[in-house]
Amino acid sequence: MRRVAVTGLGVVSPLGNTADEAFASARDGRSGIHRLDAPFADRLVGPLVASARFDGADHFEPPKLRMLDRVSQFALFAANQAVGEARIDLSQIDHRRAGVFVGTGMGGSTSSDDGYKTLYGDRSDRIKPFTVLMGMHNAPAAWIGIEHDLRGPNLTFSTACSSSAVAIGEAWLRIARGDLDFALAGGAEAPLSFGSLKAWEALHTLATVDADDPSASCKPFAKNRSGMVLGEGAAMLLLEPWEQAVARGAPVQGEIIGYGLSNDASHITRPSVEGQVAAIGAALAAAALEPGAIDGINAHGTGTAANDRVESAAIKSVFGERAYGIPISATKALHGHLLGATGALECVLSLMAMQRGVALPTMHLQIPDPECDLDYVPNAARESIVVRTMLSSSFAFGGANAVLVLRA
Amino acid sequence: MNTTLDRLRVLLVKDYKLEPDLLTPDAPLEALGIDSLGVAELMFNIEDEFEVTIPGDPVALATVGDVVRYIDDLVATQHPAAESAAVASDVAVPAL
Repeated sequence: MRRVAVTGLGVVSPLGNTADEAFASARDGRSGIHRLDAPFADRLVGPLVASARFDGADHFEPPKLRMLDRVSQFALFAANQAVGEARIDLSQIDHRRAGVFVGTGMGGSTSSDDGYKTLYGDRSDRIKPFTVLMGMHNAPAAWIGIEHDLRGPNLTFSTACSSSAVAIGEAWLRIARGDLDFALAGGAEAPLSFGSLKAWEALHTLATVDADDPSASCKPFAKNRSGMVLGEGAAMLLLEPWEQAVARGAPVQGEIIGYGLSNDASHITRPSVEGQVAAIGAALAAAALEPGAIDGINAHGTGTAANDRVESAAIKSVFGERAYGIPISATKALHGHLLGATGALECVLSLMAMQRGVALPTMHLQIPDPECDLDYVPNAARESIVVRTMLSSSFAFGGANAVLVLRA
Repeated sequence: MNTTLDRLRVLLVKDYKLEPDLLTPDAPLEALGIDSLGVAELMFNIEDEFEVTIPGDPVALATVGDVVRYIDDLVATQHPAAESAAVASDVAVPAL
């Protein structure tokens, strides 16, 4: 197996529209969560979102923009940024050995939502001609392939909240075993349409508004948690074989060294300790590491009671007494839950944190939950520490667990 | 008076943010960034603007002038009474 380097990072997020901006916000504990300002906000119980300050008109020509759902705009922008950062001229590579791997949970759901509004809300048959191509899940990956002429596998993964961790893991596998020499891998999500927000609300998973500070409404691992906040954005990584990256003098941002998958095969939404332990175990095995080698974790950390307790128990099960000494960061307190894009964003933040010797904080953790008694780096970043190997965990509805092992 | 070309120009300027000066009858649609997929969408907007129904048969439209002629034919067929009152643009579109 070949080593796999990360040589470019691209981000659109509630914490900023570059990897550096997003990392700075996460380190300083600046939340991207806010009250929703939209005509339909008064029809939501907890009108909270984590939106990206992003207008597609600033980045795409009108004829192209008209075919891009917001999710594809995010994906393209982040992919272009990653390519730019990696200082690679993609026109000079073997295009057949370059692939695109994108995770998205809901695809172009805003375009579908618009179509339904026309048909059922307005009772009109004038559904727009581009509804299909904007709404389809593989549009973000396809547009990236078109933009950069990448002719190898162009794949879309939809495993709910672990989609982009799976996308990165699958890209890692193909480069590691020698099938590909380049991959753009990550995720994109644009789930802030009325229909989507209302559907998530109906499931009783969303946070209520913190009256004192709406931006602090998502409280992972805290006793007074009330749920998650939906966020939007994309994160893309350029992956390539380590030797190739070093040979061309690429700006190496870190390394993917393992990836593990498991399925709970038990309940469609309720997470399982056993399933999460299996995914972490598979990831460690893929990286050929003992649990003792892990010195940081980016938790799935959604801020729901079901997730936080099960995840804490799973970490204790894998690491035993050592679990209490591993810094665990839940950055969703700040960027919200980007669903299919969240694993990629958290992977980016984790790589940057390791490079800078920082454990990112789990914000809004004022009231500890006795069942969640690990070191969640509460409320302030921990600086000047040595974190060389991290797990980035994504545990999804459908029982789809994916864990990445990252190295600085 | 609003000719068919004027009204089509308004549509294209609004949707594609094109310079009105570029929208001459002989301008190729492809060169304006309107490919076959764009034409499909344009047809949808033409249905709204000109209150016509686009038939299912495929039709080759290469230039802005082709689209103008196509619209005029549809209006003549589907709104015969209204046509005499409208300003016929026909092929001899006024110089721009």
